[in-house]
Amino acid sequence: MQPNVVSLSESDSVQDPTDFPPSSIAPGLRDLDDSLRCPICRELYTAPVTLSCGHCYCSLCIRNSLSSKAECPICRQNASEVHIRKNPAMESVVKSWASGRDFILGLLKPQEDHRTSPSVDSQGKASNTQPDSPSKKRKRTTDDTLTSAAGERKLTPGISKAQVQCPMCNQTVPERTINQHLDSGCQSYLSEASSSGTRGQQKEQWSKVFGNSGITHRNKDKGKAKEKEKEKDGDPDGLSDVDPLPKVSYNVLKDKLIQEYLTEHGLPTNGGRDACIARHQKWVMLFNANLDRSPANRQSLDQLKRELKKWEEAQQTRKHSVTDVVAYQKEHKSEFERLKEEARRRIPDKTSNSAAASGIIVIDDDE
Amino acid sequence: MAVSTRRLQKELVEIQKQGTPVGITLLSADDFQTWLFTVQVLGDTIYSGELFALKFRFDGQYPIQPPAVQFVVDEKYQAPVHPHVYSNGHICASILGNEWSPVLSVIAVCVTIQSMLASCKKKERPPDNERYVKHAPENPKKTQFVYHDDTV
Repeated sequence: MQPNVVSLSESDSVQDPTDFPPSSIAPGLRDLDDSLRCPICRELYTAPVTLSCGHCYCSLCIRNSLSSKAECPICRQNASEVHIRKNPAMESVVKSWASGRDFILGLLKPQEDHRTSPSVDSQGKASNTQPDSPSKKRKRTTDDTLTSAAGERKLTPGISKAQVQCPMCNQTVPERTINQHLDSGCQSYLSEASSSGTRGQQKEQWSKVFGNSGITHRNKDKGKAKEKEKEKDGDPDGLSDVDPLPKVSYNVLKDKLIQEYLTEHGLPTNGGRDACIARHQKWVMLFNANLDRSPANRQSLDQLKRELKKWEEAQQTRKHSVTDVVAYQKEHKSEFERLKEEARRRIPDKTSNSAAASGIIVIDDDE
Repeated sequence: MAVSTRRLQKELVEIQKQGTPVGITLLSADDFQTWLFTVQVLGDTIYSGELFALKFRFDGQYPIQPPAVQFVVDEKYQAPVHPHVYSNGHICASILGNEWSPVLSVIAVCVTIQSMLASCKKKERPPDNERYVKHAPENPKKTQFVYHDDTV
């Protein structure tokens, strides 16, 4: 049986230890690539840190994980943010590996070509004209292409041929620019229709942030000359001598104070209390994770803000995934009917079942 | 790009290149929201010859939060009769709840559930099956299970 699988065209850009041949052909390389990857995101480590048990993660990944459960994901030993220690040795290993990885893959390619088809893509990426790049060593290449085409069509229901839904950010993008859009990290080539309403407002708020931020820093840094100098060092925001941001107990804070915290970092204060808290929490996480990089590799505050903006937008697309309510109701009519029918049937015997279910609590949570 | 999507892409690539463990096959992965697998319990067990389907649903919190996992119950598939599996397909397993760890993967969950079935000695439904199924939420993640039995 041939499974339906999401289009691989975007997966081709995914780097993965299996890009390397098994140890029978290239001993150690696949394992090496695997051990330089964070077990949470499976990417090469970004700002690697270790916990007191010695297990290593990306700073941002483990901060995320610890915020939902205070233990090491691998050995389950109790852990918290105070146990996080930078691992600069790992960082430099990963940096070297990342720069040598494609080169090594290139060296390995001639070997593989004997066993698969010719035509080599030096980047290890399959382009549209070369759907079955040998570097990927795909089995059943033709079948994959067929099913993936079908999968792609499924992913974009109700959108005319000229417009496609980006598989990454779910925004509508003109079909002919989808590749450029993906290459830009979902930043550009959006079709105009996708930004409207509250989204537009949001954008305005954020655009202010990016318009202003430069000025705020300039004020802080007392003069452009100094800033230029710092930029040369790859440290435009003077982050090398900055302390991590402390955790905030939002519960005891008034809305006003939370907004002040945001303003302090030049962040927008729109949205309700919850939105502000979430934004500040994420900001603290991004900021502190950035400090776990060695100074030369740090991102600028603007980049972090962009990161935060991207995160916030992703949250929104998830929340407002139902755009056309009427169509949604029509599409799920049978399901609604079934639920109504079930609910009606339950009413009469409610009394007989009032005893609490032992061992099980049903959470009433309307996400 | 969302971390959850990237992570799922990588898992999918790995499944396609390295295959799935014995007894587990990928049925469909049309998008990064829902994946289906078939699970078969191998060897001499009380489920020999039976084929089950597992449905995974992911949200943007994956892998920090666990996926919603349940057995498919439709014309083609039934939920296995097991003391931790309700007849609506919901599974009471700690790794899908408070024992979840972000280093686990879709395949790791499949294997755990496969071995949960393999170690079962007696086919029976959970004692509170009827009551639970009547009031169960659509998404098993909204149920807070109490894990009390670690023998099977």
